[in-house]
Amino acid sequence: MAGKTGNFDALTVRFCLRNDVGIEDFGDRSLVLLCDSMRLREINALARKLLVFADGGRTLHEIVLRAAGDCGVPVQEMLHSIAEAMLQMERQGIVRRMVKLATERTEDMGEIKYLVNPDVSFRPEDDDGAILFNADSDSLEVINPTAAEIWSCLAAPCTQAQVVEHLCSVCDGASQGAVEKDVSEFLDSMVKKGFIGMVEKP
Amino acid sequence: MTHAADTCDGLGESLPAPIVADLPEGVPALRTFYLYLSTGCNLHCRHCWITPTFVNGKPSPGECIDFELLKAAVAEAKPMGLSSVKLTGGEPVLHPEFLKISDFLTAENLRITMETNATLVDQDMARHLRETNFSFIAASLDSPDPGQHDRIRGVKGAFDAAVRGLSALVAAGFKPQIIMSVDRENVHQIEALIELAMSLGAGSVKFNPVVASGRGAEVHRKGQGLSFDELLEMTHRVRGPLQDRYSIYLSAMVPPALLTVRELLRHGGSDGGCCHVRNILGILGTGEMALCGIGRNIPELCFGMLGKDSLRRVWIEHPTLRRMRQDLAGQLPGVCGDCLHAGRCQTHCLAMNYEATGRLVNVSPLCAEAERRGQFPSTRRISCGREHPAA
Ligand code: SF4
Repeated sequence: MAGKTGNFDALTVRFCLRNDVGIEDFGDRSLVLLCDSMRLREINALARKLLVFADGGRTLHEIVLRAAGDCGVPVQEMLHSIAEAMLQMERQGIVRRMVKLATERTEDMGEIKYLVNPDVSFRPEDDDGAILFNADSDSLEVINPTAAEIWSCLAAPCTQAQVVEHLCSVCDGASQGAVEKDVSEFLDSMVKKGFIGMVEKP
Repeated sequence: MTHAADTCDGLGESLPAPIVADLPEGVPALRTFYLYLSTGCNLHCRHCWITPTFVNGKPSPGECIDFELLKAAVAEAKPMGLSSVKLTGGEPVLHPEFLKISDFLTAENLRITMETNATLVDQDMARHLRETNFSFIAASLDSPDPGQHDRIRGVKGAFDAAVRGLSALVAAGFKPQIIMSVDRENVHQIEALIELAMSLGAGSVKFNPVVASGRGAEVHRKGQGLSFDELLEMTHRVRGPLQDRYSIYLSAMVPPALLTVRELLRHGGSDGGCCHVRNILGILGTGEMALCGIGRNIPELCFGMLGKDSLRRVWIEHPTLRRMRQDLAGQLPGVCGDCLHAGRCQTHCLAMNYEATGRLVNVSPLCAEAERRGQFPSTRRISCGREHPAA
């Protein structure tokens, strides 16, 4: 999974708040409401500041510089923890990275990473699965719980192999071959429909 | 034979791929005729929503579509995209030229579906239909108890005759759908009816609630119609635990916003339940062109007469159809305007909307009721949670 700062190719990735997010501040804690999935997350004061520093689209490098300045701490000392915090908020669906998403593979892509289309609203319902809705194209998909797990996993860019690894770890008894097939079919069909994109190099 | 809440459910109704139609921009292809071949019926179902003729207790075909006018209508509609027909009624088999019409439609390469009470279908007819373009036939059974079915259908012996007809269809190679019109009197028999359908060799079972229209209005006046809660309960039961238990395909239609994700997934992930009315023209036994069978009850939903008015002109220019298309293409009213399913659902059954509200393009009465009760699922609203400002 893209949970390590080592997965960053550069510090040039831009982050912004997802547009279905609402925030209420309570002293040194804030509650984040993920409106599409109707979930609540609690974040601490540092994470709340990072959201302010991201300011609708700054790079990770710019965010680190501002945070280091604000705390009076050398940049190198903060780099790792801030990158980790941004990645975690990405996985939680609070921020998203601003990347160009391709629907077709190009020569220079190397190992493909997939990412959900930020315009698609994800509506999980109980444990039954979820509805995906793209208001721009007025298109709707109903997905089962396994596909919903893949979707959640792709809040941050992942390779197909990373998705398979994640699914095998959460689905007891599923054979690797069957999971690989399911993931591959789901990704193909979602990329074709524009619900998932392939991350282009910045 | 016409069913209560006779809405499309995608099964056997799925429309063929659009073919190039010679029509002005903005006018949809006319893909399907709903042919109400006769206005009469040999049964006298207490719930029938379009009240066919049944004269002095005797079956009567009533008025029947003139075959020559039908041929002309098909010739006029084919360049506009016509590729399928649904035969219904009254009871379509009562049309004196029923078999000739079936042969003609087959020769025209049109896909044919039919709704019948099956009581007049014998083995010869079933075999004949199998050799034509019939791809789907639905027939009614309202109870596994012969006496009760006969009471509901108003004619003694109706159950035995329907079972004979269904068996003939199965023997000929059809997998007919059985349609049960459900009210408080028979709702407890759903499971027994599924078992009967399976033993007869049916391909699917559909459960239609009796609606407060035509003769069905009396059922509701007597307090026999399903309430909102009972209807949803029946739908979830059919599409949930009963579908888990039985291998036969089960269908119970409500607007897609009122179905769970699991129920939607049962239909291959599609949200089902859409009315293809933009691509359908009804032709009544009288020869009137209408939105659908609702034209029998509501004269303003009839648009002209075969042989007198040009079908093409009616399709392109009739103000009611134009207004309907404009309304469907614009901002939909009420909760439909904020519904994820609106693109496909298109306000569900326009005929029922009209009956309930006097407007074709309006929130389906079921979704309106769900919203009034605060039960419309928030996850199906486009605006879900958007009232919370992003920081
Ligand atoms: S709200 Fe309207 S568009 Fe949505 S499911 Fe109900 S009738 Fe259909």
